[in-house]
Amino acid sequence: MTPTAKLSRSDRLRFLAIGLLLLEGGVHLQQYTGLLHSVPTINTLFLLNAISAALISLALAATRDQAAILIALSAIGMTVIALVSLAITRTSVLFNYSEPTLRAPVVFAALVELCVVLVASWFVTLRIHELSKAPGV
Amino acid sequence: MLVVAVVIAIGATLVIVLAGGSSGTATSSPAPSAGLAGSKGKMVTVDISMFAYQPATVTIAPGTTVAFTNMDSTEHTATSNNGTTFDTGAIQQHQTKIVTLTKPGTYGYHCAFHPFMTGTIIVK
Repeated sequence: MTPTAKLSRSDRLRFLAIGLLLLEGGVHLQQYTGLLHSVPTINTLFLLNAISAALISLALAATRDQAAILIALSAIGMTVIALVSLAITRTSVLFNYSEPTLRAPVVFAALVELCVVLVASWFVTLRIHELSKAPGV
Repeated sequence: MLVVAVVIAIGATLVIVLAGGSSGTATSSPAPSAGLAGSKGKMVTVDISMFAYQPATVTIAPGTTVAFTNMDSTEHTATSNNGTTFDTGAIQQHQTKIVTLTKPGTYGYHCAFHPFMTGTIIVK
């Protein structure tokens, strides 16, 4: 019987980032179906976030080398855009929409998005460090 | 295993938070009138649901009160388009605010937080 290969630290972070990304997409999908599907422009953006999060998660699960770094960077980019958009809607109007109420899903989404940025950034840093130390690189 | 545990914990938290966010008390809390004086006791209701005023257009007699009830989990307002005739201010979920109009005319209004939401009150 072959012993189970131990996951590297960066792989553990990669899988954590995948889980968090799926949560981010899940919250956006729930908000789209439950509340925001009738809001012009915003509904499309929420749906796009959910789809993008799912696709990026799949891509991140399928690769672990240099490509994974680029994919993680795209996850960070998408999530930062979502966080900045939320910050704008808290204080003013974005695409005819503002978020005056600090609803539980909004708070949860913001926390998950912060975690995505932190974990994905940590993964990118660690993976770059690992690759730079790998033989033949 | 630690990663799996963390993901499961976050997922469980999501379920709890979302379930809690969709529930709430069904008590209505009328607020002081945001409109004009002269109510004659008549009232029509406009529900705010799924980012829309329902019905979007109401026709009332002078002195009739219009009660706006917010069914959405996010705040809305009913603000006259000219910005001066009436403004309910923020209406929270399950809260009702009233406006009383006495002068005949057509009053367009919108939500200050979500300007794509529009309605009309016709007083005649």
